[in-house]
Amino acid sequence: MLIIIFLLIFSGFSWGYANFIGHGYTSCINCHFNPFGNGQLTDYGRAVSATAISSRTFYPKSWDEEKIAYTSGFLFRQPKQKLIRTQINYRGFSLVTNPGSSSNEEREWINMQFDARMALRFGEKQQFLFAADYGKVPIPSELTEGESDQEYRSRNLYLGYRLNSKFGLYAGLMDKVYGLRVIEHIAFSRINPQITQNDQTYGVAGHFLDGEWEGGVHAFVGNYYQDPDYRMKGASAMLEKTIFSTHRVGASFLNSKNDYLTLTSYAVHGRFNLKEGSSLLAELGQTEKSPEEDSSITTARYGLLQTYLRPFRGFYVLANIEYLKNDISSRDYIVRWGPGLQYFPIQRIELRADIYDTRNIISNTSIKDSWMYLIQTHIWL
Amino acid sequence: MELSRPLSKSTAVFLDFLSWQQEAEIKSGNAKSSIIVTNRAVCAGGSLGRNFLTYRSFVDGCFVYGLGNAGSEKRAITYDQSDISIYGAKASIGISKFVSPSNAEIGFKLPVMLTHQHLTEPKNTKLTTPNPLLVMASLYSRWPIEQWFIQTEFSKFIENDLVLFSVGAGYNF
Repeated sequence: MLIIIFLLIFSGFSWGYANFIGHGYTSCINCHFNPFGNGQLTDYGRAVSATAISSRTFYPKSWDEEKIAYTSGFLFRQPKQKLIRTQINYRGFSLVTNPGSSSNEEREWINMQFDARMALRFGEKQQFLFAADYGKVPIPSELTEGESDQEYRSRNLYLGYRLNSKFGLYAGLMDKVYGLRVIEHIAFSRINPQITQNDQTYGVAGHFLDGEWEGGVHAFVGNYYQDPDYRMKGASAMLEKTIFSTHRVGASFLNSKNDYLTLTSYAVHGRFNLKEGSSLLAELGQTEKSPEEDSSITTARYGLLQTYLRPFRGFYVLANIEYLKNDISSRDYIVRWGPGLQYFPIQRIELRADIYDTRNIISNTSIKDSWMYLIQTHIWL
Repeated sequence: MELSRPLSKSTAVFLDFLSWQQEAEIKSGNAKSSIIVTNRAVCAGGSLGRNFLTYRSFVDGCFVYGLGNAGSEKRAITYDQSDISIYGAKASIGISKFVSPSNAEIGFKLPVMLTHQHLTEPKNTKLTTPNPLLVMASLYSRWPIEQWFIQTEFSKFIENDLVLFSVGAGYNF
């Protein structure tokens, strides 16, 4: 009963996956230990994943929502201590590129993520946090310059201090504070500003949440899994405002550099609550890249439109629409489009299928679309 | 949450941005190659629909105007052409389900599109132009924001593996 009351009282304040604004959750902080989203779930986040996000089809009919929430903990019950929380994640998918092609269809199974996470909360008001994870990551078949080939690594390793409900300070290895943290690490909106799956950085981040306003600033010195000359150092900031009580609009800025490249990125974004789990996400941004060897600047423009429609609990129909112009002075651009299905049959299991059609609009010729199918399995404890 | 609503009519106007690909074929002597034509266009039109308890049935139509680029797949025959105008019309019947109290919808459409586009035929070649009549099956969704809405389509042509996608905005009366 206490869990249900807690959920009802605080239902306006939380969540993680950016599209879950469709459930009325505008901020990430109550469901994730990281106030900007991503990473390990809090007890509240686990309970919401079981009672609002996932289907209840496979739970016994005799179980009410309170019982379901009670079993959402790591050991299938609520922990009896407040100090430590753990989580184990596995994400793997079957990837098919150029399906149907007799000459260059490729199929592979990728173990995308397999890690263990821990969060320690301590202090009189649990105002201190230590979060860490460690696990196995896939090594790209072709490494970019400076990219680490370490198969086992940490993506989160930080200390946090919550001064009060409004302000928090976090120091260590984290994702950069910028833009929408959509799940798809291949999204143009994540690749261009370099905020994708292995772009975590050591730094200090400040977070504030006050009524309709939320934001963060982040100063960072690079990812120590990279060679020193490739580490991107700089700063970023993000600001969001709640509008019409349920939607969020925001803006982000990022500037970073290493010995070879200066990168500046800026974007506006929106997260719109269409109610009952349905939502719409949008981001439009530009990235300026300047190599150190000369003074030229190449400006790329990217856009993202993601829609999530929930016909019934646990099931989402997605549409993913992306745009990329690698050089705004050129007429050429890329559009990537595709529907997807996401199903949470029960808490701790996510099944997802996506189709990606990538179309190159080239000013003086035309090439056939390239295709990708993904079928993803995500299991967590 | 009850999603039923009384029987009523819906009328809207919209402007969509479309992109689709078509295939042509070019022959020169014993060599032949397919030509990929990538089109991008706008489609301005309207829709009429009937809202039932939990779903909506509708018809829509729009006028298409845009430009396309063409390129041969096999470079044994080099064919490149840009900014080829294309115009026509697109009409659909569809049905969608309301999935939220804000009337967000997902559904299916059967669009038919008739277009005219002239590809230049170089000397000593024979060009087979794409079929001007395209029949598709589409996954459709719409998200209302007050009287306005955003809509998307992801369509596969019945006769081949090429696709059309569109995103647009409209206004409900």
